[in-house]
Amino acid sequence: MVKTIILLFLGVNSLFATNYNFTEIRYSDALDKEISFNGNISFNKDALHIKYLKENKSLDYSNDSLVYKEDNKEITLDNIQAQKIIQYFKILILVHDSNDNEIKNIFKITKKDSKTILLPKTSLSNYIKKVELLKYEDEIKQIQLFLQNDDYIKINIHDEI
Amino acid sequence: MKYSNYIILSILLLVAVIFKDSIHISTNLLSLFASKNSIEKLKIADKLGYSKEMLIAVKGFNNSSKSKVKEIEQKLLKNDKVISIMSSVVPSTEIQMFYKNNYPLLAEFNAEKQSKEFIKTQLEKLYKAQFTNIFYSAIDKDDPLKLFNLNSKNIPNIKNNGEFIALGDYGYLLKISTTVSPSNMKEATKLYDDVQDLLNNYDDVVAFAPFFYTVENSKKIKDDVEWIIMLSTIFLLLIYYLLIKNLKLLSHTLVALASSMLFAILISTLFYDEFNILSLAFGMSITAVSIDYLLHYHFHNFYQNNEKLDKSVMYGFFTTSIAFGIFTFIPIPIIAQISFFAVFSLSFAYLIFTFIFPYLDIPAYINDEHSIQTNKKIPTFIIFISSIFLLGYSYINIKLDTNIRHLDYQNTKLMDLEKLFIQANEIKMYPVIVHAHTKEELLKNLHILDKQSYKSFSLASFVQDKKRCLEKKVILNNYDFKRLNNIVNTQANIIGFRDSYFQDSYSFINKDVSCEINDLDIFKSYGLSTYFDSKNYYTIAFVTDIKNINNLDFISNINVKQIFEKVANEMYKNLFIYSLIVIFVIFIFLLLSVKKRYIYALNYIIFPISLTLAILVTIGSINIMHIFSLIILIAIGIDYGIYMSNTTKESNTILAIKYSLLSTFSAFGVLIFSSITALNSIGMVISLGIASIFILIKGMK
Repeated sequence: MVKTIILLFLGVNSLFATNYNFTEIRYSDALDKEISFNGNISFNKDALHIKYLKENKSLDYSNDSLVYKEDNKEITLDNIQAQKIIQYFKILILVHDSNDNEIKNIFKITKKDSKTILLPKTSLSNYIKKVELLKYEDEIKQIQLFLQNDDYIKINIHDEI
Repeated sequence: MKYSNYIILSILLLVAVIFKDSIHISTNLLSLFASKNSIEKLKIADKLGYSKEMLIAVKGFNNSSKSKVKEIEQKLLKNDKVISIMSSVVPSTEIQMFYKNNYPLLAEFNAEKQSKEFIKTQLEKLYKAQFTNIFYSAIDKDDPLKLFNLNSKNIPNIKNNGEFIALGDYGYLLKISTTVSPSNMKEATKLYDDVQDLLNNYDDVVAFAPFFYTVENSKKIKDDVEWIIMLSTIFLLLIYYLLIKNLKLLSHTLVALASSMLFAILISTLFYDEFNILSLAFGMSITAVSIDYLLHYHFHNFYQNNEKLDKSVMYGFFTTSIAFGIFTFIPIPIIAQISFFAVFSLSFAYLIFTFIFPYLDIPAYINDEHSIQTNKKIPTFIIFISSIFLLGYSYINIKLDTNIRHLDYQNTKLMDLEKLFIQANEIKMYPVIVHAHTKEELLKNLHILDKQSYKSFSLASFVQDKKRCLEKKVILNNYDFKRLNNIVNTQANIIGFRDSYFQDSYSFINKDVSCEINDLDIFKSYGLSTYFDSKNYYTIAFVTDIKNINNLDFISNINVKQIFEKVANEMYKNLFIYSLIVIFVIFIFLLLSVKKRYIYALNYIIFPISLTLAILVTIGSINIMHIFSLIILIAIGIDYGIYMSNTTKESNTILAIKYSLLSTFSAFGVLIFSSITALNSIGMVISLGIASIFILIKGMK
């Protein structure tokens, strides 16, 4: 009985949030260098929380608003920057939720083996060249954003926590 | 001689046929209320697309809503009455190109000479941020020092949900520019039907445009008026026949009324360039009041007594005509036109009933009715004092309604929809027209307006004026961008940036870029158009407070509500002045015509007005139609006051008045059944007035 309750609890919990460790590798064309960050990311319904452990910085996105904290202290971001991050987070949520209908509204989708390529159809194309998703057993393992200024962001998602 | 009544009508009809091309009846209701200047302004606003916008809201922010927005947009764009659709906050390609081409001139530029140390520090910060910032931020290789800064322009009252425009929390919004103005019935109906057909295929989608009122209300008004006319005609015919009980007299009466109306139409359309259909309808109804001359004559057997004149009818006619004659000079077109029509139609009717009818072999009236006289009558002075008391009560409690829109059919369904779209606007902004002789001057004026008003939205939010542009060009041309580029590249290499990453920095400044103002039409999707009328350029600007900019001579307020409020206030003022003059003249005429029973006669004017007014102020506010109907009530009351004061056969006079009141109720009183406030107000006043006069003839000593 106790085992059943624990399983049920875990099952319900996973419906509301999924947590992963991840490694983010950014390539800066200006520096011609890759910079990497580690952290954990948790997805909720229409919400996202990212924590960079080493830097002790976090970003919380929910109810269409963004909260940025450094050393648990809230820091106000300028509106344009916040909007860009929100836009980026919305893409991550769509990809995580495999919300194909919505993705189709924004991207042209092509699939090749385990790789899915998303080409932006909207004004996103001013900033993003393409998004590449790598899946393994229907689980997303890697998200790569190729930007118009030749920079790219690669997120490797590790196992669920 | 016995056919003279018919001959007169035939002659008038012949004249009407000959001059039919000169008879112009205007259907422009706006010209009846607004001044010429206001109408001109509203015409320009119409050219600028103001009030031609249609709004469509799709409930919810889910995928299905987004698909609906896209589908509706695609389908609507195929409609030839749709100019453009704004559903996204992303600027159009044309606007993006405009910003790209004019970026150095539009952006704020830090023109200080930058030192080598400053450049080095800035680049170092940029370099370090790439390793420490947890969120990605791109490096601007064209302007790494951020010397140019272009603030994003927020369009007021435009909220977004993602890329799409949102209507508050309701759902997505489409803002559609159309070619249809609310005054163009044919085009409005076509687009209205097209939109309704399209939206019937979707759930949870609502639409609103000012021209929806034109389409929906005109149908309701047409149905309402048809029903009222039918009701009135049935009532009139029944009353005329049952009361007069003589087919010959009835046909002569109808011919006389038709001749009077036709005569007044011919004179009025000859005198006025634009005689309005509403004035015509009103004037024709007032003509029906002239039947009281006939009834008085008939019930006193005037046509059989060989008398040349009945002094009571003559005084009644003169007083009414002079009252309306004074009102023809009032600077309110509708009242002046109706009064003008009434003077001529009543005069013509009086002349026919007085001088032609005695020759028509009309059978005598046989008195077979005996009215029951009661001794319990109220003394004249008590009625007079009560009337003064009621007037005082009305004066204390009167509330004037200056919103002309309240007179229209109250389309609550559409009003609720309009409220849904307006409520989402956080900032209340008022439109003004800005004019100038040239495009350059227009932009200069817009920038002056922008500086002077607390918050504004206009072409000045996007385009700078020529003088400022030229000043900026001089600054940019004099700045040493080559030096800046050299230092940036040298320092970037030392810090560790990729070789020649910044080689093109600050080379985007095109020194040949023009300050000439070319295509302002690209901002049409934001509701900002320009219009040139061969003399002046015009555009619309939106401001939060009109008071701050009232001193600027290049702006005109086009807020319809405010324009009509001003017009209504002026109307009330003019009505007050003219009513005082009319009342003064009526008092003098009453004094001349009734002498001894002066207060008794005066009560027939003062009591109906005071009682009606007191009831109206108790149940609500007073509108312009109430006031105008009170004037008609004065015209009716004068006649009865004179007849009753001078009567020798009271029972016959009472009978004539009763029948006359019934006929007035059929012409005006039935309007109380109308659902259009303007008509209902007239019906209400006349019905209450008729009831008051009934009280007087029955109950005043």
